[in-house]
Amino acid sequence: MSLLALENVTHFFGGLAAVRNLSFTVESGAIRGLIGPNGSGKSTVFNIISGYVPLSSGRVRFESRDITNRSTPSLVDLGIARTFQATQIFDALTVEENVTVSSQVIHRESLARSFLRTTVLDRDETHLSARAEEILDLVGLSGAARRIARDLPYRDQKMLALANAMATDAKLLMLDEPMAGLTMQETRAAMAVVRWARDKGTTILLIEHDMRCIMELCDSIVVLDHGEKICDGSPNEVRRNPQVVEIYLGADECSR
Amino acid sequence: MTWTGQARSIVAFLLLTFAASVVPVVTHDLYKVDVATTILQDLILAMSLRVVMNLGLLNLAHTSLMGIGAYVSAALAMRLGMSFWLTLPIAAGAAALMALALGMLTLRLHGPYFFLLTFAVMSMIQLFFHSYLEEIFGGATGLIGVPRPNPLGFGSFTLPLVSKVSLYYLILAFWIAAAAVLIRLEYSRLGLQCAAVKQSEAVARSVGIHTIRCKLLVLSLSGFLAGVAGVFFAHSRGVINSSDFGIDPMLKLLVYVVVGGVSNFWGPVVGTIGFSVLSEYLRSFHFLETLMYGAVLIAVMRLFPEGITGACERIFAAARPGSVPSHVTAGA
Repeated sequence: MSLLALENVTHFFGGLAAVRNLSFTVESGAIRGLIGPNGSGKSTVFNIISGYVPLSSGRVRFESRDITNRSTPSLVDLGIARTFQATQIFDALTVEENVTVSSQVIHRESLARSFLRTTVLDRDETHLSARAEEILDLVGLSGAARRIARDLPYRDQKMLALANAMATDAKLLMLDEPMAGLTMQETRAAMAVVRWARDKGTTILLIEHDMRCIMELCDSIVVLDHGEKICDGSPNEVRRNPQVVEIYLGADECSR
Repeated sequence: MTWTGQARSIVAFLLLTFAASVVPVVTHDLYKVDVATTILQDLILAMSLRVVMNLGLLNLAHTSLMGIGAYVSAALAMRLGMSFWLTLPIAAGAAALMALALGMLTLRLHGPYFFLLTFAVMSMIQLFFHSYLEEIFGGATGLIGVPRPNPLGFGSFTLPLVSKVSLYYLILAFWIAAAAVLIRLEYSRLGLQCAAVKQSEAVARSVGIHTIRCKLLVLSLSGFLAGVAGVFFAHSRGVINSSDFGIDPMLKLLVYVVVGGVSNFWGPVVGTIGFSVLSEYLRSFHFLETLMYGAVLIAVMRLFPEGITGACERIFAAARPGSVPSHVTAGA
């Protein structure tokens, strides 16, 4: 059964269709790629699924439930988390605070409880902290737990954004260019984190421009151009699709 | 936000409480007690305004919420003869409800729109008390002869709340309760969520924080506390008028918070006490008072745009390079 399904999704920015009649599914436990040239509507698709922009028409289903136009926080409650293309973290908070505040454990408790509970001498906190520690360890930030997020180097900020999304305990993790601007070695580390999350049972939807990384990581890939789906298949199928090669891979290979 | 921060705040809170509780013992000058009473009342207002401003919401209707507390309590006491201890929760609750309604009306608006709408609401509330339901709220004259708080009774023992000193201890008790609640909020998990909302609302939503709910809650709490200050204001002075809750006291309050520093919990305390004491010293110079007031405001904003406490934080942080604050979950 598919975890996420987009059915004839359309979104207009004024008169311009940023996404047109788009349908695809994401199978549970898969790493699904979403690629396309700049301006092809990838991030808009993310914004639609995560409730940042309303749909003009169509439906979005998550675990066969209709989630069209639900609010972002309620989608996170259901298990959909995302990162942003431009790295977005809580700048003035520490690394540990970032992950703590992102954690679902906090959001699920009542307002009264989150107001009354002391933050320290609390059994749940131990659990939370253990989870936060595991995630921070994984993204290589456990040594920087007490540092203010804005003081971190670029790579670590990207990893922190990833850790925040993971801390929400998401079933579906949508990553918008998590490797952008990373060195080869850092990209490897980020890929390992994505694989780890998948092995833990998280489904991944990934936007990425690094073709090697996409081809290596993804089980299947959706290719967008001008807001429309032009190809959907395994990395090999996508690689061999002449239309994809022409509009995207070809141009990308030439520029290297 | 930090455990050590919480410990430091509790120590500061206890010291301030102690200092405030000996004021009437140290000085027998009733004028000074009166000034200290006003300071405590303004502290409740400034500290409750700050938690809302710290979420990026410039609420110009804050003194109107105080006004609702004052008018509702005074009207209930004068028209229905209700006890102060009954009108207090009702009037503060009315202010909290108004804050909640204001939030529901405006919270999807951002930046200048929120600010402008609260300005409009403030004018409307002031006009309402000035011109409508004259037989209840006294119209342009306001309400005169608001009764003093009813004596506190425990069995055969009763504590009359009539003298300036007893009123001072009453507002001190209110301040202690308000500050305790606000400290709890600041360092609770809810406070951490507020800090996240302040940083970036979009990111806060992306990790599942119900930002609107969070803002509404803080706004209502802030309104409740403003209402408590208003109730005290009405019953301690005995006379209220719609102009007591207009733009002038609002701007004064705003100056306290901004000059003290919005991002620090103790910012409004520093601002309120600092400005109040300063204006007492300048009182004999009349016109100079306003002039100096403005000059201090300009100077602080030029030199420390993040307020006095913000500047102190920066200086301390720079003095200890590499030092990082410990954390909420430090003990876990």
